Amino acid sequence: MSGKAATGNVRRLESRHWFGKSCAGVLLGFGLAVALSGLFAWLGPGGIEGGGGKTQFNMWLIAPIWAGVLSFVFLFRDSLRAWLWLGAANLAAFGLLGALRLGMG
Amino acid sequence: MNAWMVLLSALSGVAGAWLLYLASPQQLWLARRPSPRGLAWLGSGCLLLSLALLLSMMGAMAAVASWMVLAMLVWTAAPFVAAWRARQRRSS
Amino acid sequence: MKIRNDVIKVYKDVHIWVGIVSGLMLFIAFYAGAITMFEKPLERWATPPSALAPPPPIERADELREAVLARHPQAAKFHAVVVQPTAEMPARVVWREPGKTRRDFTEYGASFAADGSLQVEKLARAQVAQLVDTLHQLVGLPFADAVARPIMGAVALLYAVALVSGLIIVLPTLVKDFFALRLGKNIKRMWMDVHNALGIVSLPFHLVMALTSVVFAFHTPFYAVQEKVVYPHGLPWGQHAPAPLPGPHEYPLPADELLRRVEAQLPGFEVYSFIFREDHGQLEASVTGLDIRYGTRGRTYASTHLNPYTGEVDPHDLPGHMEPWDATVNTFFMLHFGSYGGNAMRWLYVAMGLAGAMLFYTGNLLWIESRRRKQRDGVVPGQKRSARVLGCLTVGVSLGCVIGISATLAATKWLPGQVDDLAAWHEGIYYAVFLAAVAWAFVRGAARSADELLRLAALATLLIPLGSLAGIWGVGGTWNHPGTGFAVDATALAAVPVFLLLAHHTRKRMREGHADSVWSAKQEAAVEPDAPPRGMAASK
Repeated sequence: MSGKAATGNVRRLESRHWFGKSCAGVLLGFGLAVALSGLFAWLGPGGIEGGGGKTQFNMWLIAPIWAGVLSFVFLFRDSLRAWLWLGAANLAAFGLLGALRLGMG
Repeated sequence: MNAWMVLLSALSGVAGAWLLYLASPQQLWLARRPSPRGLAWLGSGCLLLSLALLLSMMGAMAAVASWMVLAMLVWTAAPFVAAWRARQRRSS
Repeated sequence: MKIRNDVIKVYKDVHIWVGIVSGLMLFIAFYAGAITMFEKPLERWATPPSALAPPPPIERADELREAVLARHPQAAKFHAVVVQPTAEMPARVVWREPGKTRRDFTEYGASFAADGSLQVEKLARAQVAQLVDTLHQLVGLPFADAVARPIMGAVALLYAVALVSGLIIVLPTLVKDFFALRLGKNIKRMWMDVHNALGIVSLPFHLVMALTSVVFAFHTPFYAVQEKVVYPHGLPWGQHAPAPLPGPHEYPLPADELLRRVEAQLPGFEVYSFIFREDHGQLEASVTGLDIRYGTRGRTYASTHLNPYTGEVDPHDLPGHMEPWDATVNTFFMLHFGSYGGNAMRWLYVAMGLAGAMLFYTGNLLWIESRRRKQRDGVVPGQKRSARVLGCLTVGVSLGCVIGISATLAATKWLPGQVDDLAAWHEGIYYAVFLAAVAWAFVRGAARSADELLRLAALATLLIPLGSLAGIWGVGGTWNHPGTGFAVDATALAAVPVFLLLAHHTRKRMREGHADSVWSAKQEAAVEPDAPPRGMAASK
């Protein structure tokens, strides 16, 4: 990102979109965390029937992903972009999860 | 866990973290810093010894966690202790 | 590392606001969390002496068990043989009678009187250690668990955001300023360095605390959502082996024999107790204890199944013997609870916890300090009030928590002789003192109240060992457990001069520091003409 700053043709990031971005981070960040933890549950080592330990691990995964999305959501240029990009990521992740459940379940 | 081994690993961990602090350009403990490279090597050696001792006594995760918590504490305390000493030195 | 200025600016705003919202609750969580590292010794110190006869040796535990089960058959559902009876668990055999909810139960203990007859006592395990732990878990909020826990989870998420945003802010100067602590004329620079010194190197610790706390708050909804969305046939918990059935000539082994066999199988594992559960004539047993080489997912002990007929331990629930996934999850718990490495590690966690509390405190100081500097070029009265309000809140809430905990601990040895509902009294004392301290901070202003409340903290903390001292002479129903409780009293005593020293520095700053600061006595006298009187402005 520092490279772009040097060229000076990037719109500057502003704090005033914080509310919309935070909402996207909380809601869509949670959705993404659930979907990604689900993908890990299916595709990670041990598979979907990986036993009690893996089931717990899958649940633990939600926390870092959710907190990570919420932390970095402020890098989006504005709220709309945050909602659109995270929405698309949710669609993709849940789509893949649905496909896995249909295909493997 | 042998108490002497625990003590040795703790001492070498504290010493290692402290030496690495002394090797940093921002250290305030010594009026003039000796070769930072030497301090850094010696400090890293002590820290590795501490980790090796802990790994020989505890489960891997518990050993690494103990080691990190000890280093974090020394590195948190070091700037304060050193700043205090630097002030004593200035005022005397 | 180079980061665009506008990114830094945005993350500064994020850091400041999540810090302001969550900082004081996190202070309480960390201060109470530091104390709750010694939950068990505190409970031991705080539990009144039992009237039971001294516990019989473990060789007679089964005799006692049989006597209990003959007189109180309902104890069969859940009873335990204690290997090392202590003040808070003063009987060789204890059992639970269920209450309204799963967590609500009454504990009884039994012993043999001198004439050999069965003695039974309702155990009076101290409530105050639990109060400190609850304050820690619910970030000091006086609400029901169902309300406070999600708030705690939200605070934990904010805490995680604060850590990431804080890291982003310092990244450009991380290498250059690492370990820098510039104590000098520039107060803002100084608090900034102090805040960074407390926050940067301990970042791994703080990340662990933030993320585990998110899970501790939300694990039930997390599982519920995953059960619906992720798993095709409900949450796969894996199979649990059914309880072993006894062979034709097998009888449960006596406790001392179980102890010998468990110790032979699990070197390094200190056995605390054996728990027996009988359901429809089928006996299940488990062993609790701790191997400090591995830590545990419980706060103070691990527990695993045991075949009561052979003494054979099923180690798959035991740290050090687990499958990789379970071991990983066990690590997450262990890192939060500091349940590895024994008391030495617990002391390090106390220090980390106190340093964390100072991290949040200095964050608020920084906010106030940067407001102060902005006011020089253009006076904005609203800002001034906000700095003053935050100053009062910071002092009142942090020291209110400190004094509240000390006061409720100081009451521990006096209450059982006077009142019945100990839990309510301990909670009442804490919150009364806490609220009074916050109110006092607003009445007196940040600077004066900081000094006064710190001295009050010293006094309240001094009262803790005085209760034990009174116990030595048996004044007013107090008690002192020789030996075991000494560490609690000594720690409290050591904290007294620390509070006095802080009070001394606060007074010095009040007299000699910058006049244009909420921390100056001179400033408090000089209220701007257009602002309402100080006490009123602050109390709104």
